[in-house]
Amino acid sequence: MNLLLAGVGGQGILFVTGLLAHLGLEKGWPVCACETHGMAQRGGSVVSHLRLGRKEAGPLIRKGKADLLLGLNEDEGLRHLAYLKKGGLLLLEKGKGKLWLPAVGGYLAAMGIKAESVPAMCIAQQAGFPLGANLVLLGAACALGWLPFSAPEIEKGLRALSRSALLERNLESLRMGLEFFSIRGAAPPKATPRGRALAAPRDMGQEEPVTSR
Amino acid sequence: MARRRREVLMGNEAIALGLLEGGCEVVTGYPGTPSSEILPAAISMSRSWALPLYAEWSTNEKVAFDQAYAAAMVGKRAACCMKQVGLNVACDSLMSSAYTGVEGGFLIVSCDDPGPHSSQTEQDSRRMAWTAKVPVLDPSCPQEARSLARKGLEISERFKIPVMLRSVTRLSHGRQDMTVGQPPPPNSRLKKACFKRNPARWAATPRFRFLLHKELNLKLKRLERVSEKMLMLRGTLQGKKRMPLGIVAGGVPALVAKELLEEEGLGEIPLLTVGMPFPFPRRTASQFLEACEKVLVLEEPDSFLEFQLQEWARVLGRASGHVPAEGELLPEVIWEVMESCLREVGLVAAASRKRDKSNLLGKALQQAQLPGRRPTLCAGCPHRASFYAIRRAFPKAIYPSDIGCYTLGSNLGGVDTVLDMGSGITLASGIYQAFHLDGVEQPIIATMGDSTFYHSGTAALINAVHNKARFVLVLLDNQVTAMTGMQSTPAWDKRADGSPGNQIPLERLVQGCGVDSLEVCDPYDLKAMVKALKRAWQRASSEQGGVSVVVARHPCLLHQGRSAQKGALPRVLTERCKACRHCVEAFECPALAWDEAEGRAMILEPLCVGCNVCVLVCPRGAIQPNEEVGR
Repeated sequence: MNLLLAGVGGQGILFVTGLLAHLGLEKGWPVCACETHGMAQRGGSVVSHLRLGRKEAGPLIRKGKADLLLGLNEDEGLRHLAYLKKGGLLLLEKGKGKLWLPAVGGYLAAMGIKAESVPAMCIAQQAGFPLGANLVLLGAACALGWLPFSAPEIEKGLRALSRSALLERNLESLRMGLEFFSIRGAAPPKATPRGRALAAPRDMGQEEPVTSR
Repeated sequence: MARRRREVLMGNEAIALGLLEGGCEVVTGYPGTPSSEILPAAISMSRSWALPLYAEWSTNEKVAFDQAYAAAMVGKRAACCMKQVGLNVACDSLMSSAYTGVEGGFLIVSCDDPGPHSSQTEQDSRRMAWTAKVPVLDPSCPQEARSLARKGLEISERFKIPVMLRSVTRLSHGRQDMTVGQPPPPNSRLKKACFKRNPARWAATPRFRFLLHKELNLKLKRLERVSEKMLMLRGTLQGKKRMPLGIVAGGVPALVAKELLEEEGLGEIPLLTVGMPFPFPRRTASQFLEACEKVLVLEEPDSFLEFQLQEWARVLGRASGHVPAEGELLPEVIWEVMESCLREVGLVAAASRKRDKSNLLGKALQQAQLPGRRPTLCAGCPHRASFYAIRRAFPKAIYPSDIGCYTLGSNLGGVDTVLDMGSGITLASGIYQAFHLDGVEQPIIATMGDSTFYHSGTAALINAVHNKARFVLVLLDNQVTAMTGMQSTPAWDKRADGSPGNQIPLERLVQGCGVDSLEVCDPYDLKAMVKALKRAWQRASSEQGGVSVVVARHPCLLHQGRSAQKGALPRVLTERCKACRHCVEAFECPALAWDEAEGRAMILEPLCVGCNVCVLVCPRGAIQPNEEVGR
């Protein structure tokens, strides 16, 4: 499985990558990962390529071959859209709601990409732990059944890798992500991206969805 | 850590592990992306397994090379680690050491940076190895890097020749699972230091150098046999009929090519992976060439195998225009190259058109209006304050600068040149002398970081002072090697492994270089720094003037820990803000943004560290410290 994580410095992308790599290892799968370094701490974008279950894999995912793209930042997620394969999965931090832009929806529909967004930043901020946005998104991906790991497995991994001072808040963030779709009252969506592009966005009510400009 | 278990290791950690497994007792280096993690990993692994290790961050790569080489001279196994441009600094030693050879195994780890991601060139260390006549190993994944690090030390000791292990960014910073456990007890393999006096070798004069050269060439001849064993052939070379296309590859592209062939169902295409590109495995390579009509060569960052194949008519590579000559060979780039070569030899049909999809993508991205993200100095970075003060004091100066975080001072218009380590000073004095020829007095304000100054500033400064150059040198002293991940500098009382070290303060060094005019200031106090800069230029340009040095000293916030610095956050006072945009444009702090709705500046609280320098930047005093809010 090819997973791509995209965001900006300071969002804990490397932590999530490390967590997923750890979970893959627990399952006995070969694990390969590669991340950007250096300028990232100085405001650049951070991308992490994670490849699970393939022996002797190259360090990077080829464009058009990612199974799942987790965009911890809306813009960075969209910037790496070209990596998703046909019929791939896209989970995006909601941001300004750019997922519902007509041209974006058009591309997703043409590629048969299933897409969802979660206002992970809002949720994490409301819970008073903005650093947990990465785990909110991860929890949501798990709830959608898009990860090769179960919720208890992720929780176990978190317990193993979290700093003890942050463990409880990390677990809470994960739980909020896991519950996001059920609280919204909708079953994990089956709708096609085109359908989603037309439907009213499920937002948290803080921000206006961006329509065409 | 005694139990063997599977762990995901970064390429650089895998190299460190390989070094320790190979009985390496000395590791030196100078930090540089992507090589910086090898040395700390070696230190922490040696600790957890109680293995003997001397490790140091040396003042520069040449020093690091010599430190490790000396250990190998007296029989210890040793390694030095650096990035590819660092190898340039160590080049003098590299060339000579190939002749004199080693007693203990000696590995030079040089990390290339195809892209480039964080370097000034895309040079290829394998070619440096070739120029120096030392064998070079080219692993393709972390696990292989680990085993080649160990093997490299063994080969080096067996043939008494320095060996290079070449890594690249995607290997050094890639991660892979592997079995990790306590290396076998090293004591049996470790040698006591022993210097065998031999002037004809260690202190060879040119006449003896000729003999050493001859010896070196014989070693390389014998090493070809080793090289023949360090390759992997995938697919078969059928005896009579030539294959229409074969691939020769090395390093990460070899692994990618292998994966692509499998993925695309092209298993019949033979792939020769070369693990030791020099000395070149000529025998197997010519057999391969014989068996294939055309041979595509995949390697990065530059051509090396391609040249050694010496068959221009049938080799597809950079010279023939089949492989991009710049930039990283990303998987999609390699696939594009492979596809076009397959078409050329008639193995796949002409291109199917699928342009329209990427157009859809282009439209989507255009509509999404993705913001550009240029790297910038951190919020609260003392360098930002320094560059702001420099621009304020001398808006029309020439600003030679150097390599480090502060290269990003270009965002503030305070960096005009970045050539290499140490060039902040050499270019400043060179520019001065050129203008002086014409009788023009041109203000020149050079900047250089503390670690860079220790690395290669002193020779440049001595030269500038001796030759009566006149300029202001601002030493941006954040008291750490920040860019590469907070390594120690000689100003610390601690060394790389945390043990006590002797401190060499910048001031003493500057004075020792013959500089009389020296001031120390805190860039957070903008006004004081502007005054100090003006005084410095006055002294520099006076009758008895020369080089004036201002040390702008404030610790790096990342190193100190942001939270520790968090003071009261400033806020913008609406009524005084006249929307001049000076703060967001001339100071460009990531915590300052333009509030389009309100038409004024705003402070992004989650990013602000409360350094309060912007309070001094606003010409109307609209940004004021917020007294009530303490975080």
